[in-house]
Amino acid sequence: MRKISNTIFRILLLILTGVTFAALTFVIIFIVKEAIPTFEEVSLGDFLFGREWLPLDVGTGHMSFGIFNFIMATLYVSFLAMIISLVIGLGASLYLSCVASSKVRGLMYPFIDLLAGIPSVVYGFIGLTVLVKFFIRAGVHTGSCVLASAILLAVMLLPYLISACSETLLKNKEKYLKAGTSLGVDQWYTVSSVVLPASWKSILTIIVLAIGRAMGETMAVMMVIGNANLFPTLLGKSESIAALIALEMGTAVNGSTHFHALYAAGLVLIVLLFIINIGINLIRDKLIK
Amino acid sequence: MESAIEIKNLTVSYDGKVAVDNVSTSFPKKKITSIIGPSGCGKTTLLNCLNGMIREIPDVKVGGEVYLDGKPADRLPIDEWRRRVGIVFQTPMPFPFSVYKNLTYAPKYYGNHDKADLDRIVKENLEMVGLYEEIRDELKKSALKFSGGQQQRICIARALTVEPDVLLLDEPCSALDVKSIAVIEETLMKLKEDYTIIIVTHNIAQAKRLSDKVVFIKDGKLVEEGDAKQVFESADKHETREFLGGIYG
Repeated sequence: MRKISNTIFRILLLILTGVTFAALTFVIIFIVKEAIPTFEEVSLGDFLFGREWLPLDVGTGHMSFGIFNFIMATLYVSFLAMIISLVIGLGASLYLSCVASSKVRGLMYPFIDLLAGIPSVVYGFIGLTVLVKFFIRAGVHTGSCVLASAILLAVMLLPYLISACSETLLKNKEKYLKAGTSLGVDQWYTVSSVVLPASWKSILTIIVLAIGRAMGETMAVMMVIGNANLFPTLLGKSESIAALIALEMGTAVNGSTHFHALYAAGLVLIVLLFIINIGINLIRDKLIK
Repeated sequence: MESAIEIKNLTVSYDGKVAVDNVSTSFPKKKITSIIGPSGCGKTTLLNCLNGMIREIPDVKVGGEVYLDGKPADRLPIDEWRRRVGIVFQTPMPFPFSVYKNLTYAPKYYGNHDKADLDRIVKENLEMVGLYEEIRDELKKSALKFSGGQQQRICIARALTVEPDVLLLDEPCSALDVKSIAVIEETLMKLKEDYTIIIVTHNIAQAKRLSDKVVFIKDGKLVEEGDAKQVFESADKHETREFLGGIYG
């Protein structure tokens, strides 16, 4: 009896794992299949490095599918947001893990978790009414800019970064701080020379996951970035790949090159994420033996 | 007998619950003193009072005095107190660096950056714990890659790098195998020539093998203390005899 139930349980788990794996495979196959027709119209080089995006030949008489600016905007916004978020997030994590008492921690964590629960459209709305207005007053045309969306994105990444980083730091503090202070060494010296270095490996993994989130974030970024096909500059408008797809997919004629090109852009986003993940993992293994 | 550490009327309570109740005793210089007693009797708390680590624990109340070489320890700066009374914990806790960096960590913090002198500190302290010959070619290897017994000896060597007077050990062998325990015990017998050693242990046989003096604690109270031989062979108190006889523990 025990044997039969074990077998059933094992098969069930296998099926469930298979479903997850199959879903991922089918999504990728589907995107690749839909993306391929694009390259009958444009070469891969022109698609990746072209700067002109004219998906319809109405009026102009010619079409062009270059997503270089969108790629750069996606990378620019994500990395800028990551840096802002990391500086603030690491500081907050250090406070929560190494300074705050467990009572204060217990009070702060629910608030941070709450930040993670706010829908991105609400973030975008706040970005429009607060950040964009601020940038207008500061003299930026229309207020929508790359910096605004990076700041907004940074705030969205914070709860995740803080809860994950402070957990790692707390674990390592509990492990090593006692050994440090028992040698008569100052708490902050131990934190900066042992606890932080010991946590780098996990922090890099956290960064990988956060960058994935940042590059895929659509709504909030779309609402404040200005959505113009321009090479990203700090205070200029631009448009990310995710925003491009969200904005144009609804109006693209099914089966047209425009339609396929949007899928191809999505594929590029996936590949970019994949490359960044591998890159950071390589750095992690090289830096920390 | 001259004592390195002395405690007078030490009382510790966590959140109003008394863990150590009015204990007074002394720890003789360059001898090994074992603190024994059933689990949860306050042994580790007592040990934490001896180097001021107890202050790091929130919601704790400490009464009474600790004397280091006859002078009140809480008048010393806390880092000086901890430098003079080193501690080795139950689970080996080397820093996630190389052995060399582990052993030069504290000396560097105290301002020693002379390469030759740091090399000497590493060599001497590893020799002290009988590890130098064993791992002399692997000083650059991460300390986490060594066996549990070796890690614990690295931790003992690390505690010695700040030249303490007293070495506290909190059940240093409970996570180790029999062979490693034998090596650590040998190390402690050797260290006794230069350091005052206080060891908390669950292992009565180990206490018997190592100690010069024994302090028996139960429910936070000091039940009996005295010369190890005398306590193990003919304890005065009924409770001590029961504990040593393995009736509870």
